[in-house]
Amino acid sequence: MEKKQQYRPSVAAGVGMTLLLILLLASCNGAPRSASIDEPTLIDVTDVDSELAESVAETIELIDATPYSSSLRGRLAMMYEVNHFPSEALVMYEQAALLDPKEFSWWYLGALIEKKQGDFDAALAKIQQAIAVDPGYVPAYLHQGNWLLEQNRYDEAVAAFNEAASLGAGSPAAVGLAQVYLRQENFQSVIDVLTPYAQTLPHPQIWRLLAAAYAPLGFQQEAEVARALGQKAIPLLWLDPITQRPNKYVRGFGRRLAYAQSLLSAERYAEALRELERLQAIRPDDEILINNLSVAYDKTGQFDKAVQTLERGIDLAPNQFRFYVYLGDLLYRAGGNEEAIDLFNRSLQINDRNAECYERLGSVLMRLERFSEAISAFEKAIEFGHSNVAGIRLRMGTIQGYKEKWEEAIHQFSQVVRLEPGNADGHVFLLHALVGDDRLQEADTALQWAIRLGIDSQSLQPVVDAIAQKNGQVDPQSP
Amino acid sequence: MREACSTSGALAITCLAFCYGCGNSDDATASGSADGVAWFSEESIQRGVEFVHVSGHRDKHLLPEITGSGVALFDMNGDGWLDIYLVQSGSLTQLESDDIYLNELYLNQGDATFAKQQFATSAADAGYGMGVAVGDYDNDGDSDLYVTNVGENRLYSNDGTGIFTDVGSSALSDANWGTSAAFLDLDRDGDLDLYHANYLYWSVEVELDCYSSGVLTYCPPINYRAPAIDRLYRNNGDGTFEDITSNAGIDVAFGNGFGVIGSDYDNNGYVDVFVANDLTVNQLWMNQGNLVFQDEAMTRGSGVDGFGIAKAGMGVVSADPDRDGDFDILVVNLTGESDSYFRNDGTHFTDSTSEVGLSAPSRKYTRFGVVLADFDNDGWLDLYHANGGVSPVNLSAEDVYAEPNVLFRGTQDGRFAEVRPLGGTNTSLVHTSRGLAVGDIDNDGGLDLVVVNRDAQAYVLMNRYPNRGNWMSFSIKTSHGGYANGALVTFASNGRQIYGTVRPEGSYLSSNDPRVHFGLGKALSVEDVRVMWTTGEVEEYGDFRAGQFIELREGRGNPSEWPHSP
Repeated sequence: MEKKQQYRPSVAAGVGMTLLLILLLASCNGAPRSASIDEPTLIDVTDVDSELAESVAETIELIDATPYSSSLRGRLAMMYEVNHFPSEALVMYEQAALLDPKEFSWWYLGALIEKKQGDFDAALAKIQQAIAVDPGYVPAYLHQGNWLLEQNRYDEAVAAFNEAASLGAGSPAAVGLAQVYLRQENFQSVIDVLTPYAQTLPHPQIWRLLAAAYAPLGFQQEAEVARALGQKAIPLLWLDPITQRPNKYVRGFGRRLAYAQSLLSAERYAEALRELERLQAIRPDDEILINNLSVAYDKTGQFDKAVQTLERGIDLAPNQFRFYVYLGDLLYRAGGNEEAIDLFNRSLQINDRNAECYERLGSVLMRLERFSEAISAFEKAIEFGHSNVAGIRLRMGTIQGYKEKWEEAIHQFSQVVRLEPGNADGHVFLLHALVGDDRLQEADTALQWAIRLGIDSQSLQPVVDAIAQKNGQVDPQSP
Repeated sequence: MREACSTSGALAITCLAFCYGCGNSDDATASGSADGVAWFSEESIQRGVEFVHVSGHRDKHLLPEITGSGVALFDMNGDGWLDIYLVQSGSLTQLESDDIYLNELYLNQGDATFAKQQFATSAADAGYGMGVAVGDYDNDGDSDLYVTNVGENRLYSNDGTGIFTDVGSSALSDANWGTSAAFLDLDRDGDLDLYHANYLYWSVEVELDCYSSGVLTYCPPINYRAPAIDRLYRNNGDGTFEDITSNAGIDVAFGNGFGVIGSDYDNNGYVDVFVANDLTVNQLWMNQGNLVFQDEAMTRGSGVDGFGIAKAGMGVVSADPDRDGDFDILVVNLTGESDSYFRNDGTHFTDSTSEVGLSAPSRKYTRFGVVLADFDNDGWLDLYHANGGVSPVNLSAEDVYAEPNVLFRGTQDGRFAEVRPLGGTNTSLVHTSRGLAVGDIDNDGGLDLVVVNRDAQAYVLMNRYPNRGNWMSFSIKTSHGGYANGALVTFASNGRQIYGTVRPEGSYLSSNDPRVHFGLGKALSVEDVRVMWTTGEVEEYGDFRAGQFIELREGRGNPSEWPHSP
């Protein structure tokens, strides 16, 4: 985006000069009114985003009137950041920090952008400034530790993570320390630092790191279990409320819609609904908006409105297959099984490769004990790339087990534990199916896995008894 | 400059016509440090390569339009010179039915200039093209082509002179959105099987409107929630293939597949397959033998990065930059995400991206094509990224997705350092780059590049690095005369054991020069050259002076043992 720097002649001072001034003024309190200050950076988005252009123009006008206001320049920075103009945001955060070096957010948010753009030196310098302003903000140390780790500065990373830990960061600090120790091949320290969290917060990242430490120390069985429990690709995240500050400056339909979706993902349904209803006034017929609006209504307990929204969507765009899926889902949850099946089938007539729809159709059919049809639908869901293959196979195996088709059930449950070796339900169900099929030796292996994965012995007792009973009955010579 | 090819009495060696002296390429113009000098010059027009990619984008943003297409560098007629096959995309709608967009084939005229071939009965392929794989699937001694499309894929058999016949796709029946593919001998039976990655289940009807920077643009794949199953085809040995996806166990794990690479990562003698997935967990299909595979990406540490994040995997490459005798994996990702350098530690992989110096500098751009190759012939692999955004990068630019490509020099401590001028060219080249292939186009011992740019002219980047080191290039061929994809080669040089493999697959949607190129630095020769064929047999071929193209033919060496790395 072209930067227009148009209304003062001193523009060329540039970022370098700004940084120099920042260093010189870092110890000052309050706004350094005697210093010269650069122009706010401008963007030209009038043609593509009038709402953003208008907000930027308003803020610039305010800055013009109050050129030494750190908060106004910070506001513009946040506006740029959250609307995807990171370079411009960086310049504005620097200007804001220059005017008020004691404002944590400007350093901190600037540091996060620097890191995203790959300038770790600048990111680390800014996060250090932020920490100097507020030594009590835990996420700053976690970021600092991770960035130092990525720069292979291990001792400093350990210091940062230790600081975070001393402030109560808990597992994220422990994971950070473990990552450093792993790089240093200090495997025992990895185990020492993570073991307390492995049971209380069994996050896959913790298990993955433990697996990497167990193996070289020769703890192969422990490593195998830890690998199984570390299968899911979920990053370890932590709360970082400062990063939410720029969100109120989201502008433009597309960005606001994306923001509303992020609120839905974060289960902040009431906020999402407010934003979506505002967007509805702008583009009431947007298909993605309609979908999200129905979700927001549903999640805030307004079932009828959710249904009406989707029905309106179908009227507007009868070929939008997703509307039928979501409406069917709503009706299914309200007990309208046949209506749901009808809607799922109509959706599949439009797009017959929608894994999500097949999975939902299978679920309704399973509820109605139309097992053969349910299995066919589940198979299609797998064929077309459903994200939870193990979960679907678990249900298929359950159907087969219910029908005492042990071989088929064992096949499905075996696939589950093959896909997700840490899936405790998979091992337990497999165990039951193997016992049902009198395959007692294999059942014993499944039992051992269930025990190693921490299934409590009380819940396993019935199947253990069944094995014992069958062992008494079955001729050991039989195949 | 021509010399005898072999310093030993290895009669088995076929000497190619292009044997140059050690080092000191024709291009050498300077001595000492090459900091700040150009490594490449862009010469597509001078060399007769006119290909302009067409994405077909009009109004609505259709996802395949942003993914670009690939390129193959291969010798179609056995004359010892690399030819270029460029995959064209075209149009995804019926609106442009009058326009037919064909893939293009350029014949190297023996001097690294190219003549576009007119297609009569050939590999022109009018599908919405994505990628290309090269291999001698029918064991007749020449290189055949497999072209992936959005829709039906095609297999083209070469008659040895560069005339291709569409042998149909009935056996290769998948008609989804194919991306990268690889010809690999997965069952060690001496013929090439085919691994085919699919991206997601897509049609115009499922398309969505997404926004970035306030404007409508292409959606991330995660919005479609439809990662597609990859396909595995067994070569039946009679020119036909059989879909064994399900029996092989490939149908149990999914991802938005973009990049494919094969290598024996656990040294069990069988080639494994790694798939780089876009915003979904990568797959590492460990070959259990008997064409049965188990996805062990997560348990072996290559499914996600060190922080547990499934990044936007695009291109992938596998090589041995740290010279420890096994093959590491490098996946390139979206802007803001670093590359993922998975170092092979024998039994598992470790995300070592920061240790190799790529954590910070690789985040600036969105990378698609990627190669690890020794461009300066100093013995250390360098890294080239072909870049371009998937959402608008610069709204005021003519091409809003355009980004510069980046070159990294491999250093002696196993790290990579960004080269200036940016991308190694004096004139900054800024387009939306996608497919990328590496090979020695002018047979001067320096590796060149071809880059496909979305909706723009392709680059032909000729290696102009001054005072390149010595080098060696091996054409490793089966007893039938075709390139032995997956065969390993090793030799001793300056007291070190160096390893390489015949690996045309990799990068993004593309196929590289199948010859195995080694930069040797100041070394004047290589000793005790051995090849492990995909069948597991090992042959020894003796010693060679540097600066030569050497053909090593299966069955013509002396039986030997494989020198495993310490």
